[in-house]
Amino acid sequence: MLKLLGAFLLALGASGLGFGAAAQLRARVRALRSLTGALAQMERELSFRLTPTPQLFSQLAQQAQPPADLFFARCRDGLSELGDKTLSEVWREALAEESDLLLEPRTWQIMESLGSVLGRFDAEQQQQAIRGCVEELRLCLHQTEADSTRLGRVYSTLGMGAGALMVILLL
Amino acid sequence: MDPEERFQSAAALLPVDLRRAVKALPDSLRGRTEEFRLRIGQPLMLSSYWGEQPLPGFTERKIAGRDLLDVLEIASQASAHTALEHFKNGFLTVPGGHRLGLCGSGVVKDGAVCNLRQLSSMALRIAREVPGVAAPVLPRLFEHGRLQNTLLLSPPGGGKTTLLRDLIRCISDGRGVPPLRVGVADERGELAAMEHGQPQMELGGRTDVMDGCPKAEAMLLLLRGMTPQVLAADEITAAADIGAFEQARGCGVALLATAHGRDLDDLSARPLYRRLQNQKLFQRLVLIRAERGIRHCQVLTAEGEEVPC
Repeated sequence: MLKLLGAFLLALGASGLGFGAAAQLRARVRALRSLTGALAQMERELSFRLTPTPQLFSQLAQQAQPPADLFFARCRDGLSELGDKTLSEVWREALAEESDLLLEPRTWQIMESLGSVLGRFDAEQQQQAIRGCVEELRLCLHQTEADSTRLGRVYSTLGMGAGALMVILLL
Repeated sequence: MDPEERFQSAAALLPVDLRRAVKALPDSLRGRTEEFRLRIGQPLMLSSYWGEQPLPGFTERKIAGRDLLDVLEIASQASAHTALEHFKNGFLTVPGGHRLGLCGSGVVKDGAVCNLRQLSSMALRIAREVPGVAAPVLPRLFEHGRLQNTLLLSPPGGGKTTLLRDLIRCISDGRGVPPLRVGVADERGELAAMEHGQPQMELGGRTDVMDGCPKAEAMLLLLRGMTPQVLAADEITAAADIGAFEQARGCGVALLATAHGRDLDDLSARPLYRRLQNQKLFQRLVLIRAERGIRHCQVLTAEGEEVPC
């Protein structure tokens, strides 16, 4: 009986690992979608209303999809330290602290470089930088979506397969 | 906000190391400083009526382009795009009512400078309130119990806005004169420094402020909507401003305004102001002069005769 329970738990754990890895890929897709959506909204706000940055961050913290909303909430809160820190530093810290964004080195770099442009230049230059950032993030998003579809299944199957194998070996 | 708080809030806009040094200045130097001047490749200069001097102990610390961007970022609350839209005024009014003058390579659109491509220098003028500065002047602006249309005249940085602000406060609160309702057209936000609908400068209890829109339009909107007894605006710079004053004069409203110039000859030399003089739109002229760092006001009639104390 105890042996059966152990085998069942092992199977469950291995499958869980597989499903977890697949879920991580889906979460990464969701995070990239929310970021590209929020940045596109940011660009529209700058283009039509020249919205000041504190207002812009507050708006995105309320309206963006998760987890981008949490990231912009951190940026909004970080602005209270402006003067001791630059906006670029506030932005970088928010990126580092918001682990739900699940940024990979490439996407991290794209987002980080945007922080050095925001708030410092005229609207046109900022829009240009945001557009460039959104385009690059979309490319990453397409890649991640493809990975999620392809590898998601692989990870789930591998997890279940590994679980089944261990059960067979143990029994 | 007292003068010390104002100084601190202006210093808070500077880059961190310079901010610390400026905050540690002796009281005598702090009280005298009217502007911080930042020029790329030069040390931070403290400017007052006595002239400019480098920040003591920081003569080797040269201003870099990055410092100017830092100041712009802090002053604009990381919203250079919003602030630069107002650059066509030549300066930005930042929280606390301080004035940040910008200089650099201009971007011209439709024949007018609309932005700056590269900053080269900045002048951060500390907002000042000098309660009581209007007291010796105000009674001389009245004739037969009526406030006369008044133009305040001085070179840039001469104290026109400070005097106008105190005149508004005294008239609105009825300090030594009957209280009157004052409408303020604060196009550049420098007179009242509005924040969340509240003036950061003391302008009196019977004052309505319209800020952020062109003076001429603001004055007409105030006339229609707020029935002022006195209309005040800083710095007449365009024919449209004079047109709005002309329109207001016909409505029985007393006018208060400022203009750049040293004396009546300066006014006569400029076509825009010649029109003002020819029409005798202003019955009182207040000339602000500085001698050895102390400002004196001379009140003249439209004919150029001095109004005695």
